Amino acid sequence: MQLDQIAKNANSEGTLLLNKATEVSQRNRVIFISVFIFSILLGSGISIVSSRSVSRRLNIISDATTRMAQGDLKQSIEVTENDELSLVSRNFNRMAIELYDLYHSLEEKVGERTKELNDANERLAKMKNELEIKVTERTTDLEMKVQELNKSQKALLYMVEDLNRTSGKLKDAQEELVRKERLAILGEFSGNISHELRNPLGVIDSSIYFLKMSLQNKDEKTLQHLERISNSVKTSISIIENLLNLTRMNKPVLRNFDCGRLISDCLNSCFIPSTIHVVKEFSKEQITILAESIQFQMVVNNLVKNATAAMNEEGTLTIKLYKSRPEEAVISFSDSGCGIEPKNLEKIFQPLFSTKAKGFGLGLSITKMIVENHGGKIYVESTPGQGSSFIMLFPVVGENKQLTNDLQMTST
Amino acid sequence: MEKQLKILLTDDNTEFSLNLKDILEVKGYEVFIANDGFSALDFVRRTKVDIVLMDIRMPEMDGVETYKKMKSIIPDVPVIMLTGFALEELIRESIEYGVFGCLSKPLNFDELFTAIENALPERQEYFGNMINS
Repeated sequence: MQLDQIAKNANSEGTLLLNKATEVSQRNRVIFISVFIFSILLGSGISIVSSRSVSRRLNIISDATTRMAQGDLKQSIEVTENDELSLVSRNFNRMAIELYDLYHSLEEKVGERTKELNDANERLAKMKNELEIKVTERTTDLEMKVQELNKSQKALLYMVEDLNRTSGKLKDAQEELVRKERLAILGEFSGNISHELRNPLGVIDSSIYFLKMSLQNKDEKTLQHLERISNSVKTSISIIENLLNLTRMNKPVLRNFDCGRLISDCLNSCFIPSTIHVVKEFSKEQITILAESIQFQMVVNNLVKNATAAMNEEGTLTIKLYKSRPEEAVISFSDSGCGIEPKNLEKIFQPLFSTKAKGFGLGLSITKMIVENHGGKIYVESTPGQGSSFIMLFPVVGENKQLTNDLQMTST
Repeated sequence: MEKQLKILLTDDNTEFSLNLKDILEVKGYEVFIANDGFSALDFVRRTKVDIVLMDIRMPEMDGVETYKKMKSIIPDVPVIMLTGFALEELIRESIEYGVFGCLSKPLNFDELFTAIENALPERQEYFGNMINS
């Protein structure tokens, strides 16, 4: 670094100067000492020779050298004669001048170098300050930037979390779509097959009937076998019916119905054992809903059938119809049957769930699908041992214009 | 019954028709089979029948079409529609046109027998139209 270099240079120059000064001072000392010795010798020489002018002149020289030795370099001996002593004097003068010059030039040089060093130091100090200020500034800057980075990082982490969640949801939605697509294709496929199967099953069914008619006198075993075939055919037909119903679920053509009358009509059309006591509690006011009559019939059939089975063909079936809100109709089917275990409550609307040994558990899932296609909801309340209530909510026509518009739109 | 009642069965499913014929013959009816609407119309022009059982879903001309045309030929003969999977509109149409009744397949044969008996002219005034769907 520049500062270091200057310092180093100043340092070495200083050392050099010091050495030189030391040299010079040493030289000086040597000179002083030699001069001193010389002066003593000279003094002694003068006393031995004992010539007054020589000794006087020698004394002058000796004094000068003594004074010089004492530090006063500005010595000059007056030269009047032209003999050996004059030579010594002149040489002495020259030496004095040279020494003086050397000493002063050295002093100057040292002064200059010192000044340079001081300047350099000053500059160094100034630079150091500036540096410190800069460093502080930069540090503050950096700290702020680090804080910002931390904030950004946190924000990024949240975004990543969000993205993960969204991607999770997307994946779920995608899986749902794929599942629905598969179901739709499967539905169409099974719908076609079911339809095709009806004919041969119809043939088998009618053949069995004929055989049963004409083999009345045959042995027990034969009749048993016929019965078994007949039952299996009925089961097969039932499965097909359910499958076909599933495929017919989408986009019913909805029309306005007086809800009370619709329910009554459907009840009349489905088979209810005489041992079941049916109680209708319908609200007096007219409640109009959008429905598709065949599908609504299927719902009523299903709920009645389930209730009958739960009550073991004996009990009371209460059907209520009323408005919970101006725009919402409530239809409930309550039985006095065996009820549903709490753990099964969630599952009963799932396809293929059944607690019966026979039956395929499709009924309620179809019912739920139909109700939802009508814009409604269905749920169940049950107390094991006391009975169950299937409660359906339907939007009322006229009160909920937007919804009925939507329903009518989706049904075209 | 002194005379055997004649039933015309119109269905494109031959095997089913043959089975139904066997069953109805055990019950004492005389049964004729037509495989489609055209041959059914042809038959009723030539032969007198007492009752017609008509499958709704048939290729080329469905049961309702056939019934409409048949009504102009034999307006007094009761027709009972047999329907597997049929659109509600078709059923409604045929009812509006005056079919005697509608039975869904797979057939409940007891119901079928009852319907045929009720359709017989002697009883029609008492029972009127019976609609089973």
